[in-house]
Amino acid sequence: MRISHVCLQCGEDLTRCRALLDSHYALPIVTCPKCGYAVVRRRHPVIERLNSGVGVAGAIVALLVQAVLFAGVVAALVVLNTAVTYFGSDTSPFVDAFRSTMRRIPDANPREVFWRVWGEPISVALGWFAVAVLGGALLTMTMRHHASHRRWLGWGVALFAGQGLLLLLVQAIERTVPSDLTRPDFMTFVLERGAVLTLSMILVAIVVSTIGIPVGWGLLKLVGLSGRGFRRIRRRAYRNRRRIG
Amino acid sequence: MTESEASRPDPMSMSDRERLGMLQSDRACIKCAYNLIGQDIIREPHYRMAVIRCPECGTVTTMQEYPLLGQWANRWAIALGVLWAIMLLAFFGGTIAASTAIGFGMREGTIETFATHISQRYIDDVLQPQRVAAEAAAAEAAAEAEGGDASSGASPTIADILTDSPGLADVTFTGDPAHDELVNLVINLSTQVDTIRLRQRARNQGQQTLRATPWLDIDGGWWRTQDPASLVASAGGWWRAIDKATFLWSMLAIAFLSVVWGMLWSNLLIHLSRPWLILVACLLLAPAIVIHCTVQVQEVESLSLWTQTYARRIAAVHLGFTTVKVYFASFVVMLSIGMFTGRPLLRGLIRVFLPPRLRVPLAGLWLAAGKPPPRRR
Repeated sequence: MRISHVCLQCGEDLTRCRALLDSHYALPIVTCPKCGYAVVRRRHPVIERLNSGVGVAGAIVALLVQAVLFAGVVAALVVLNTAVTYFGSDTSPFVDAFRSTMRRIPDANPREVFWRVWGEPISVALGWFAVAVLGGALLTMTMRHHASHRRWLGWGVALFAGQGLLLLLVQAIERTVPSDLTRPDFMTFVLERGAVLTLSMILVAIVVSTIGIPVGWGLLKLVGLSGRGFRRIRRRAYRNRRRIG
Repeated sequence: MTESEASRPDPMSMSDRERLGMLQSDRACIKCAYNLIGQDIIREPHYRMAVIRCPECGTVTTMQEYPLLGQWANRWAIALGVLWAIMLLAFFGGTIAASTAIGFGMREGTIETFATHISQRYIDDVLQPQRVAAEAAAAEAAAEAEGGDASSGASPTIADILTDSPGLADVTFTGDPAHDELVNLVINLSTQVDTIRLRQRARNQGQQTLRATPWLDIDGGWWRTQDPASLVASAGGWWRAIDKATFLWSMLAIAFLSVVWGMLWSNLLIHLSRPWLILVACLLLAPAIVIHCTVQVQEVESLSLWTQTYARRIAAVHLGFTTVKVYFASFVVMLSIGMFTGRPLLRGLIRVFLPPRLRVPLAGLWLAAGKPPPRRR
């Protein structure tokens, strides 16, 4: 049921009369069909407040989603970056393990042995690559309100800061967690020579994440295509903006 | 200037037209919420409506009432307000509870070194002399017993007794069920008694090695003769007496937590100015400080009455409380820093993560700081 709207001059019910935005004051005006008196139709303040509340909630949700996504991608990339650097710094244990396994079990399927030995480092490297590309794509998709040089500068600062924080965290873990619960060789790597290597690897990650730029544009286009119908509806609504009520 | 803007009547010239009266009650401008009380009500020339031109933003406000939806709009508004107040109170209580609990954690978690120091002092002053005296007495008694039974040094086990007793040593399984059951019973009994005796021996050996631990029982009489301040000084002062690694890592975590808390509070209480926020920070910590002071007074009193207590407890009372004071001082400082930086940081995050269109609903954050609200473009 619509809210009643009565003409102030003659008492005619104007509920069914369409309000038009007037060109003089930009107010939604209803002209009474009976006496010609002009009255203004406005939204109820409660509805206005509700709309603004929904707007605030939407903005907060958008902020949280953006921040969590960004922080999550940075955290994942930094952790995978450390792991990739660790595995890549010395591949001889994997080569030796593969050779010794093939020597001990001559009938073993080489492909199966290869994946058993190299599975972890390869999956970590693939994960690192995927997250770096995803980071670039997210940056392209969600940070378009910043200039590109600012966007990539921020991305680099975030990655370097995250990597530094992780190195500090590893030191804290090394001090507090018993060594039998951690990988001692990994801890030694991170504490002794990992800082320089991982921070250098961050530069590589930034370069790799530029692959995400075309991916991001592609995804935006995809979203745009799927939203074409939605935009058509919005265009129609825009055309009808002059008719309120 | 566009054509439509050019065709709009000039507000000044409009005010010269038909003046109907003056607004004598509260009415907010529909655009900027400026109170229009005292403004002229005029008959605008185009539609002949009674309007007021807002002196702040120039928006035309018509003199029409809003149709009311009913009572439920107000009821919902009240319900939402109450819910918000309950949420704030719960967050207030949670902050107090968490800061109190962290204080107790700091008090108990950084005193291991000092408790061990107290234990060592107690061993040196009391237990070691007692032990030396007991050993001297035992040596004297052993010397007196010299010449008696030389082999009575160690107490015999049941197995020894069985072996030595002619009647029992001959006990063997004969095939008679009643006899064999009796033999089994004797053997089981001897095994159990030997086990108990071996445990007692091990325990006695353990007591003989005097090791300083935080859980050592301290005699109340001895403690009351000590000067706590000089004991702390002998441990190298507060900074050397506490467990530094635990303290520093805890303080790092607390600093982070309190800054985040401060940021949350400053944005939840967006209507308060900075001096008021400092007052809120003090209010948040006041109950926790009162709880800790009460516990400290009770603990000091109980220490003067107890006959025996753990070294840890003494350390908590005489060193832990200093740590708690440092914790609260740093907590209030970090909370205030969080409260001061919370709003600019949130505005910065919004600028970084949200496009201009989505910043507009959060304009309150800018307006509260007296800054121009973000533009749509």
